[in-house]
Amino acid sequence: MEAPSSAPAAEPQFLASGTGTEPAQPSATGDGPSTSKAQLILTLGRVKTLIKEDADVKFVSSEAYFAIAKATELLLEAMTERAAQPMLQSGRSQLGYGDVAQAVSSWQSLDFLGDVIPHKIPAGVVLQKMLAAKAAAAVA
Amino acid sequence: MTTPEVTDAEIPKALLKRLIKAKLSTVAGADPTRDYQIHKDALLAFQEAAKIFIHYLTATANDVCRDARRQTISAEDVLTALNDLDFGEVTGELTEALEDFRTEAREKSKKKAEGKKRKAEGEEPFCVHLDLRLFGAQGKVERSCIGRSAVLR
Repeated sequence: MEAPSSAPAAEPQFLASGTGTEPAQPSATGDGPSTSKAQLILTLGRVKTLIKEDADVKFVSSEAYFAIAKATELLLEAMTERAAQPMLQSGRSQLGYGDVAQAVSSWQSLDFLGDVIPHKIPAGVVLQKMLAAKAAAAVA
Repeated sequence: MTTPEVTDAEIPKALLKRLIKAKLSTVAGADPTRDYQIHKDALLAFQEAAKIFIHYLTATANDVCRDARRQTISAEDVLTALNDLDFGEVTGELTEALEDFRTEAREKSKKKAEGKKRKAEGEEPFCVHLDLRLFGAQGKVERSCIGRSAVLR
C-alpha cells in the first residue's frame, strides 16, 4: 500500500457518518430524550408485526405506527389506573385478574374485551347454579 | 369486517410489567415507595388486551382511511379511529406525543442531510484519488467517494 502523496490530512468527517464522531447536537426544542413524549416502552417492531397481521391493511405511515403503539400504551395505563382502584380499596398490593376484569366490565369503551377478560366465576358457584337449574327443570 | 387472525406475536410480558408497575406507583391513592406486584393471570389479561386493541384500532383506522379514499393509514386516521371507538380521552396525550415524534423525525433527517452535505463539500475536485482505506476506513468504504474518484480518472 503506497502512502498518500500530497493528500490533505483527511478529516474524520469524511468517515464520520455512522462512526459517531459528530458531536451530539442539542435538541432545538429543548426536550432531551428523557423528557420527550415520543419515547415508547413497548417495542415498535412487535407492534408493527401485530398491525401487519391484518390482511386488509396495505400501507401504514411511520407516524401511524407510532400513534398506534402509543395509543396502546395509553390504553394499558388507563386500564391499570382503573384496575388499581379495587386493589387499593381492599388494601392489597398485588394486582389480580379480578381487578382487571372489574376494570373491563365497568368501562363501556372496553366492551370489545368483554369476552376475553370476563369475571371468573368460582367452580362451586357454577355447580350450584347448574344444580338449581336442574332442580327447577325437574319440578316444571 | 376483517377475517380473524391467528397469531403467535405478543407484546413482551417484561415490557408490559414495566409499564404497568410504573403507572401503579403514580395512581391516585397509591404509595409511590411501595413495590406493587402483578399476578401472572392479570399480566396475561393485559397481554391479550394489548393484542386485541391493536387489531381493533388498526382495523378501525383502516376503515377511516378507506372511506377517505386513501391508501396509507395516517396518524390522523388513528386519532379519528380513537374518537370513533370512544377513546377520545387518550387523543390529547397522543397528539402531544406525535408532536415530539415529528420534531425528532425532522431533526434526524436534518442531521442526515447535513452529514451528506459535509461529505460532498469535503471532496475536492482536483485532489489525488484517495483510497479511504489508507485512512482507516472500516467496513463500508463510501461508495460515493469511489464513484467520484472513478470520474476523475
